[in-house]
Amino acid sequence: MNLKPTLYANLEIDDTLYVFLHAEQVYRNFSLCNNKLGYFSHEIAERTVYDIYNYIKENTSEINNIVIDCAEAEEAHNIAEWIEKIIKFCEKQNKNLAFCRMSERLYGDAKIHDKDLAEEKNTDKTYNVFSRGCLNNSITDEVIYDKFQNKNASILGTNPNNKFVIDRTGEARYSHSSNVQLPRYINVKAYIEQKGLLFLGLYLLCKKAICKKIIQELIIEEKRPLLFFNSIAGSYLASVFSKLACVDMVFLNHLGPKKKLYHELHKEQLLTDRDYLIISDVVCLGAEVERAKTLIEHAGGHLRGILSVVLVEVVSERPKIENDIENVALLTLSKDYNPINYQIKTDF
Amino acid sequence: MSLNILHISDLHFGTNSVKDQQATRYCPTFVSSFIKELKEKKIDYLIVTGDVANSSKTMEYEKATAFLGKVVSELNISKENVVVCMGNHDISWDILRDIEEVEGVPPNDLYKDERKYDNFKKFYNDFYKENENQIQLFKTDSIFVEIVDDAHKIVFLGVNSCFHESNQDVDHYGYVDKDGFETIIRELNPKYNDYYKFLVMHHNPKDLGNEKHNFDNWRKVNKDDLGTDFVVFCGHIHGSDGESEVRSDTNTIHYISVGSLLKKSVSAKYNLYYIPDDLSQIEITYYNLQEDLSPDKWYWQDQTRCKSIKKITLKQSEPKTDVLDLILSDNNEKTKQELECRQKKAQNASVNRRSPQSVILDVIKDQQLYYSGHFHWNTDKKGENNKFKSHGYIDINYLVSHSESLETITQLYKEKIEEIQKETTLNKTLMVSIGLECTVVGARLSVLFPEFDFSYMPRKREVNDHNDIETDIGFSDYNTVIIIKDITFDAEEVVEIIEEQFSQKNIHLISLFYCGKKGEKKGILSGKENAHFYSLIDDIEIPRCNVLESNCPIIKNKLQTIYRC
Repeated sequence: MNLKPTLYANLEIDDTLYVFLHAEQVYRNFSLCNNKLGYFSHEIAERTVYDIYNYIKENTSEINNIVIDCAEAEEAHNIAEWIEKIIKFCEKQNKNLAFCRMSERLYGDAKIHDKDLAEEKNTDKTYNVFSRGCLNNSITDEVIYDKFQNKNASILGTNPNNKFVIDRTGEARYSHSSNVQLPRYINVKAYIEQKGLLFLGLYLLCKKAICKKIIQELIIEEKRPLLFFNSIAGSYLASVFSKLACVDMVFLNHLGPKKKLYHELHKEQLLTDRDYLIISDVVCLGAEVERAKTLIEHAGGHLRGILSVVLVEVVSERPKIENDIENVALLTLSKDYNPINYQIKTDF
Repeated sequence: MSLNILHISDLHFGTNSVKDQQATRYCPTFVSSFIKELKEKKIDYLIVTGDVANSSKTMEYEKATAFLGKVVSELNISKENVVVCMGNHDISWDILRDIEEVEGVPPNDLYKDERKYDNFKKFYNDFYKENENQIQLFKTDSIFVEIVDDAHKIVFLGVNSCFHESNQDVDHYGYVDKDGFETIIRELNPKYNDYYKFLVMHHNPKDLGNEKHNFDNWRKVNKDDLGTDFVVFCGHIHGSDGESEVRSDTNTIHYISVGSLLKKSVSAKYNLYYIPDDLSQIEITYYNLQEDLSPDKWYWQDQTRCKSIKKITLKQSEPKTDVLDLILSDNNEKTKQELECRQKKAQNASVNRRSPQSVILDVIKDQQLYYSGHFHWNTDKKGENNKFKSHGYIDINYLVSHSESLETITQLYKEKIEEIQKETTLNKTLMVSIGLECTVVGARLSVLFPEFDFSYMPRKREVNDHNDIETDIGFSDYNTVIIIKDITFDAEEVVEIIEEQFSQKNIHLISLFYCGKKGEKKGILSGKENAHFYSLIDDIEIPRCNVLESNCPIIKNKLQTIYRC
């Protein structure tokens, strides 16, 4: 099975395709080693819109609605021809099309005003432009986060041959690396192998971190937080995230006594008086986070945030992390929201 | 006498806000590198095709004045020989918004208000203030300046393509005041009938073949009075290239664009035009800043060979032959010589450039990332010889944690994979990184090669530290596997992985370092059919400790620099 996404960050929900223009551009910029702006690059290249057009043309036979979210894309060059082709294709195929949250300048660059399309202006002066039908609900960051979380939950939870959540009933209930008893285990590696949704997830994680101000568009490198991780899954997440957020990384390979030599050699990489963000695949009871926090604080650093794919809050006994440390997760499982029936059986 | 013309554009000077500063590459290092590059060339004319500022703010123009002042003074260019035109970003939306709100001017009429030029005008007049040539005072006419070179019979005409630009979205396109333009050209024609006309304007009407979107009325403008052939220098599209529009057998318009010099989201560019003594042609060189190394190692690369137009024939009597044909023609000795000269230049450029390998080796040296000692690492082997033993260790952790070295390493792997792609058809391909450090690099590569599936696994000696799920590769229907590894001493560790996981596949193993004995590299994977080994840096040889731990004299005698786990 070879998954070959021609887009990095799209979301299909029922008969609607969501395309995230800025995310697409940001991932395409990975190939420019002289582009060190990551998420903070807001200029759209012609090639990106061309790729979106080709993707739509080839992959939307079952799709009735196409939403192109243009948030964070401030301007573009030479995109008008491809925007026009997208509009014409959707008209011909009777698909509803919406460009949402277009900045004034992007709206001008796309030359949409030349066309006879319905449009509305949002309170932040961005435009929503509709070819054929309008959307029932307007697009906001919160709406996107919700849709992504629900899609995530459905992928993790309902597939009968689910490779993302492994039932461990009947097996040893402790894993090698953790003392948490889990009847179901979230296979983050399988999630990483299915790249498409993860790229959008990491982009949204970065966006959330920026909204919560734990990532800022700082100019002085010394004031940027360092990204800390300590597992192989974490290394994948951190590497992509660090390029998005323009931050450096620090890592120790698994926190435990087995890695004494490794830690001995690398402990000096933890820098005094720097802010840290921990990135992890699954934050469950928070024991690994606590260990990492101790190390960071011992070195004189400050933990400012925890980023994770899944944050488990299904037990009230979970060690409490200080209030000034922000928690940002792609999927938060709680007592009230636990669509994958995740449980922790550790006898507290 | 020959002429050199320097063409820059889209400077987009910003304010001091964090956001603006992040978006520009304007810094002392960049400015000195740019000027140093040009200092030895005698520049006669400078053309700046608009978007001097990003939002047409006073502070932005102060920076622009300082920068352009330094360029002309260091390169010894007379301000009389400088053409600066305005771009859409030089129209002040702030002023127009005020006019709209305070004076209630209808949105449709805002573009007509000439106060939109006020901030650019101030910059323009300040820049030229020491220049006694009064023609360079700011005008809003469609041809706002003429710079005449009687000796070479060339006239530069600055064109205002922002006539329709305003803060209204519907006004966001290139547009010249057609009537004004045609009238001025008609008046100028008798005066400059036998002069070459070089038009300097911001918007590129060709817009990569998309004329109607970018420049609303250029096609409708009557250009007959400009002569049979003329050249238009432009910016706006943030790309460098040219296109010729053949209008008839004797009438061609050449459009040459240059990319942004300072905007960080695209690579920096400038063009240089050389006109020889006989004024027969314009030889174009497109330069692109290579920034994959640290700022002190940036260099400007000649990108001309990739461009559509490399030369423009100025003498109308010469037959119009496609330049590419000329270059490919074996019979054209002059062009061949020129091509050889360019290739030589390109080779010299690459000689000056430090290789990514040497960048990494320098980081290792500067940061002391090579540990000398006696290392006995655990492996999952049973028995007494269960250690991996060496007399040195490279701190890959540091290299992949820091963005500069990580970028360079990723680039090295990327180039190697592209090389493999050229030689082999890679369908149904899985890329696998071994160990945590390589997964950092592998993650970046998984974005760069979305056509490959990606997975990772721990090092053999770390298997017990990881969850069992992490040792599995999720799916197996692949023809080819690309393995990303950091250090390879010998094939032992790799062969184990190949045999256990991918025995039937075509394997391409890429290791960042080969640290084994020099003569033994060729033998790595030689016994494995369909398996290929590549290393990216071979310069560090680390001796192995080949005795059993119980016999190792350093362990036995408890000597120093012993590292065990």
